[in-house]
Amino acid sequence: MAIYKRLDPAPTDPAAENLTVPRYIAIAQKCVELKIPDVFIARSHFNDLYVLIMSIDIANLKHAIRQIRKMRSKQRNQNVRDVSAADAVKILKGG
Amino acid sequence: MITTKLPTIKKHIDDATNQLVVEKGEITVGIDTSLFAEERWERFFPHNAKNETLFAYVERIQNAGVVGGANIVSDLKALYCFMESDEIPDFKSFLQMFDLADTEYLKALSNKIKFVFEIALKTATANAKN
Repeated sequence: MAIYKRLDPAPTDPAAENLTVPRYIAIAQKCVELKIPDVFIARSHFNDLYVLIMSIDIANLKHAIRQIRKMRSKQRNQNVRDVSAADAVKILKGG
Repeated sequence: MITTKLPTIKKHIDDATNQLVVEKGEITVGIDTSLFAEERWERFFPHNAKNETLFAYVERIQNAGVVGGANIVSDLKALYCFMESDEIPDFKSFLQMFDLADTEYLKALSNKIKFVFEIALKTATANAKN
């Protein structure tokens, strides 16, 4: 019984209980959306493909968040720009 | 795709001599670690797939530290999903290729499967947790 519990634990992900779309379909859907070539899907390791999809998603989300921030600051008549570390130090020193 | 050989056993009774004949053989299988392995996992073992991915399952089975053939069926389930072969129609036919009652054979098979899993997990640049 102990071995069984170790090999077949209860699901840790609460979303898995209501999984309507199979994971494989969700990943395939993402591959189509991100225009990942078929050859790459067939030849790359599952973990690598999974990490690739997640990293692209994270990059897209970061970009979207940046865009929203820019839009909000524009509405408040504030000009926000990305500065380098050297420029930041210069501004803080009052230069 | 990585190819490997798995030890198989066939037993039949020779009518001429009235003796049990054991034939040891090997089958060559291709190990597919792509998204299609995960597709087979979800198609053949939906109950297990509901909880975790095939690779997370293999990693957990490897780390469970269960020695001997106690988890041989779990190992064979995962191995079946990794395999790409037209010669094996279903999981039942796949299981029938092995003799799980022979302790020595089981040990050799278990070691071979462990090796295949190590290769399957090592061929990824990323692992399931990063």
